[in-house]
Amino acid sequence: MPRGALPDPIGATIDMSPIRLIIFAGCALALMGAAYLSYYGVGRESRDLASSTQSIRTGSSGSTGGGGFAAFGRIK
Amino acid sequence: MSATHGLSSINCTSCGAGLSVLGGGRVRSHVCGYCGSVLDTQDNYKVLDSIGKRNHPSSPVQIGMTLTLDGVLFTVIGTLGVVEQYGSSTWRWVEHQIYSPTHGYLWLNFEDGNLTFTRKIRDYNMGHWLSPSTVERAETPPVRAYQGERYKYYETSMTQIDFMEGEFNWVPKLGERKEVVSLLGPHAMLSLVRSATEREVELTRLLPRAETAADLGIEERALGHAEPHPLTPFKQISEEPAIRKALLVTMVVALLLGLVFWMSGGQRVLSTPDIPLASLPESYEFEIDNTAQLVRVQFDTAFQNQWAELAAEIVGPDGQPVIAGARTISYYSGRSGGESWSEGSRRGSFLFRPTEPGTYRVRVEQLQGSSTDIGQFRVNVGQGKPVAFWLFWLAILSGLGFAGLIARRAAHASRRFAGSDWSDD
Repeated sequence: MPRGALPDPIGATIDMSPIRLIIFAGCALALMGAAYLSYYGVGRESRDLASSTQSIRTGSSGSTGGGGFAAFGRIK
Repeated sequence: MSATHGLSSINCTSCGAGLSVLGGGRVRSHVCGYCGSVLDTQDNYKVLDSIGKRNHPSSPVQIGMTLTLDGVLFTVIGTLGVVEQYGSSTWRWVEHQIYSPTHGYLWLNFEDGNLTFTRKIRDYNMGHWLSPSTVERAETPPVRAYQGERYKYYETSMTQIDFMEGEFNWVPKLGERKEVVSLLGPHAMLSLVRSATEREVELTRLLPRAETAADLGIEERALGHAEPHPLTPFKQISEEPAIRKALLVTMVVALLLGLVFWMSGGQRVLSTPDIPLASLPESYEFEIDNTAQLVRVQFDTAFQNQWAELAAEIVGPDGQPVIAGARTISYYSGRSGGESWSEGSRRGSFLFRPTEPGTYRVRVEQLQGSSTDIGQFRVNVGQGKPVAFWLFWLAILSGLGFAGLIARRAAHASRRFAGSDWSDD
């Protein structure tokens, strides 16, 4: 059996060198990372007027409760 | 006197110079390197002809050097200078006849800093011979097969001997011409050679420069600069097959998982019936208990050649606005010039991350639109909505990496044929 080879269940060998292990582990990590970010929607919230951002139309901050969309009659 | 084993040298029967005898019993001629006499080794080294004193072609390989090819020891016994002329262009190279007592006579060639090794093959199907006239008539580059490998037409050349020295297993003549049709395979060049008296098929392989030079006992730099050779093997990056496989698997998995996430609407927490635009503004409430993932608020309309700008303000359980914005939904379709067309989308959505579980309220109003009283829409809200963005990016990046590796290999294959004389015209 070559160095670094792993026995497999059917008796043959899988030549898994350390570099290949790193390559496959890197791809698996990238997949898991992308799946995590996508599952939790990290960084994908809509860029609309959120409670903590300045309202463009009203000029007021939503965090104070006075902000919001101009159409809803909250213009100060 | 004839060339036999055990005889290590003879004197030229013309000038008396000492000549090494290296080539075994089937050598037919010996060309004196001093006076240029062509001697008949089968008839007491009788002078058959003379090429006179000529300039030796440039080659670091010398008669008497030895090298091992495929585990067989060969000795360099002769040198031919070969020239090809086409129009105003001239190409020159050197062919060295090499000899092994067990494997006979083969060729070691030197051209443009590259060393190649040529042997005659006897098992080629001569019914698949390719002549220059057949090449001329072909619509596409002719292809031939040998031992399971595919060889594609590369070039046709007319070669001519313009120098000779040493021992040969035939009697070469200055100006002797050969017509060569060469086909390029994955690892070798297949040459269909027609001379005045016979047709032969040869197989040529590129030899590794450094190893072959060391084997010959010369420094690699003595070979000079190596021009790109069509047989130059593709240089894979380290672990390229594993990288290719890993990138492909990553791309496919990321794409499939991304599609699943993209199509998933999450857990539905609100689905209104059809709402007429005329009834706006209106508010709707929904319960959120998953604060780890995003919530999607989506307007689904049945617009046909209509547009509307719908504003939404989403307020959290604490009465604070979580998000406020507007989406222009526009959908137009028709037929033009016999073809159907459509543009725009019937949907618009917001994604937000809830800060706390509880009852949220979305208030919807139409800001403007093509009609204020025609058209209807639904509000669908789903919690735990995954997105595909990061997975699609990973699929794109791994796909680009995979495509880059494939393109690199394709570019090498294309470069191999860059010197071909095939023209589609």
